[in-house]
Amino acid sequence: MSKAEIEARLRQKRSANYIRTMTQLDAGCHCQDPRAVEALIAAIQQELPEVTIDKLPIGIVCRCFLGEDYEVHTLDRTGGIIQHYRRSQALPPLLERARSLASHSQYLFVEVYVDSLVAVRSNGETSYINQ
Amino acid sequence: MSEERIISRADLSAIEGGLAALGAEVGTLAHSVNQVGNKVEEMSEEVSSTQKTLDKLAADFEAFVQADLMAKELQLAQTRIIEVRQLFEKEFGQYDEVRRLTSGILQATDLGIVRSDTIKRLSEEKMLTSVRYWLCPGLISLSAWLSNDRPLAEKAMVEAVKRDDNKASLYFALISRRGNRRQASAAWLQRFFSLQDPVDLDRELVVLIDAVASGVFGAEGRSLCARQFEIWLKELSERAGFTEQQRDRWSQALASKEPSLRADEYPYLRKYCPIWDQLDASLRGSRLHKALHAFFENIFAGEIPSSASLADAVDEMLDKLVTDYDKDELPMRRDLQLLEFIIAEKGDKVAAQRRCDVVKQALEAKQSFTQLITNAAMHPEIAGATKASQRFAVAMSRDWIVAAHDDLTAKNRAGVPRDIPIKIESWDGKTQAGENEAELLESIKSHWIAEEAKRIATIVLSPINWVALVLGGLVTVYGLWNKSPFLIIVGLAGIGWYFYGKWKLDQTKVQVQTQFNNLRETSPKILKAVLAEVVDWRKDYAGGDAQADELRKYFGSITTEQHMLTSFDAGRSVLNK
Repeated sequence: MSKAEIEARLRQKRSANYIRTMTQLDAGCHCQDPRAVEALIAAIQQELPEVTIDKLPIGIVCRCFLGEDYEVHTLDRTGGIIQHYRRSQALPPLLERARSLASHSQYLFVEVYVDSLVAVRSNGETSYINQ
Repeated sequence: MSEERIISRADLSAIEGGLAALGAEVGTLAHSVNQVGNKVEEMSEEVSSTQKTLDKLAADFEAFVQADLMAKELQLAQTRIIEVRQLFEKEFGQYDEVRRLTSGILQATDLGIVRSDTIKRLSEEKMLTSVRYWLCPGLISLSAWLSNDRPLAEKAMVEAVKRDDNKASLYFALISRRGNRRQASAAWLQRFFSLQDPVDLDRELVVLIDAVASGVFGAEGRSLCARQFEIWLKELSERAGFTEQQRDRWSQALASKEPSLRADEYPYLRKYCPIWDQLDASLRGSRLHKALHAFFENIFAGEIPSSASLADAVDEMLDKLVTDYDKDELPMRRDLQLLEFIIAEKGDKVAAQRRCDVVKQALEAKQSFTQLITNAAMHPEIAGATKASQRFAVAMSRDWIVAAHDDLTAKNRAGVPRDIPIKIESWDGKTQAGENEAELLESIKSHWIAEEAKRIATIVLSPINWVALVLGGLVTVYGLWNKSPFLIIVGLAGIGWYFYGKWKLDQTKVQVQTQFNNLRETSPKILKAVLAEVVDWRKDYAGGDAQADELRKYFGSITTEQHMLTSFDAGRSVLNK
């Protein structure tokens, strides 16, 4: 797929199933359950089957509701881990650029790609940011 | 035993005499060289003067050749233009007559002062003389229509379409509109639009689209053309890269409405925040939503002014269509135009060609349908579009506008800095929303204490002062021992220099302390002001950003059907009779 084709694909609306799966990211139990993390990563691959593995998101950043002090949590696809971050904590450099967007109430989560971000709304609509 | 060498004083007078003579010779030689230099200089001046004369001569010659060439070109153009005109008259003279006649018939019919028999006879005569021109059967069709001769009108109409489908379709659309035959005009107009390439439209078509949107072609025209526009959009959307291009076009068009901040807003952040440019861009981006909301609301608010002037513009289009040159005439028309420009430019062929190119470029300027409606929506003053077509264009492009606005909004939100750095003199700090004021105040206070101590520690007497003190003391004691007033004064001066240095040092320390006292006093005030502005900036940004979703909802309420207007032109009553 060319860059333009990938961009066009990434702009497409996300499925309700995928949205539902991603909202489970906030459940604290996932951090300790490797199978749950694997299921989330599989959901990304299922959602974007045409996109080759090297072009899939390197991570997902979402708003965190674990407590007042928590701001976002991340799913590192390559590392296969979920982490919750407090306001004072810095995110890994590649994911940090999605922090402001992920904290915004209008977006459910942000898919972080090597050269772009895709902000996803709760109805699956996307906004693409080329970086 | 040491050897002694005795050198007697030599007699050097002969050598000295020789040297003096040599000196004189060298002087003479220098004089001669000087003279030669002067001569060379004179020669050089002469050469330079000759060069200037030669240059002038060459320039004059070139100008003469140029003038001669221009005179010849002018003469040639004057002769040639007569030939081309004669040839043109022979080939296409009757076309001009047909055009004049059509124009005359349209005017006469409006006034109702010429009998249809006369019109019919004249039209048929022209048909016999212009065998290829599409306007002749068009004219016959018009006169047959005026005389209620339907079979002839239809036959002539078919012939006109066969000769030039594009122009004939537009001609019949405009004629029927002028006669207030709405259904016919709508059908012809749709046919005309369907013959166009949506990526290569004439700029003038904005008048027609405007007229359709304003209801000049009636409800039938609106719905038939809207269907055609939908087909165009669908066709365009299937082209590779089109959607991306259209989204980028709309992003740029929306971003062009971004307001600038006033120069007196956020003076402290401008001065003490190293990333002010980023804050400025984010805030402008957030204020864009309100500006856009006002812009789009203004498009859809209020009544649409009467479309009478637009109906006139459509009629002008008909006049232009019937008086425009045919494609067969174009090559010869272009030759004629170039010759006219050569005469006007007094034989300057390059300037004439340049003028020709400008005219050609303006005539051939094309744009895509989507570019046309984007311009009509966002820059109606440049595109020459009315409020009606602005509404129509926005309603048609709604999905692209929403997508472009979403992207712009997300980009702006992603660029909002989480930490806002502050730099006051040598102190650095950061805040997110002014929440850490106490911590920052403590930080800046301890920073100045540490800085002051560091600075004070560097202010010490230099070793030379100590040397002056020791030496001065010793010299004074020695002077007293020897009762030497001079040494006493020198020694005391050394001691005095030491004390002067020490006094100056104290003065510098006092200055540094005063400077740091000032900083301790002013910097917390500056810091508080910066933090207050950070709080205001965050509120300001959030307020602007919240408008994005309001605008999104507003876009959702716009529909194409709702904004195709209901104003209709009554047509020309004379043709209705």
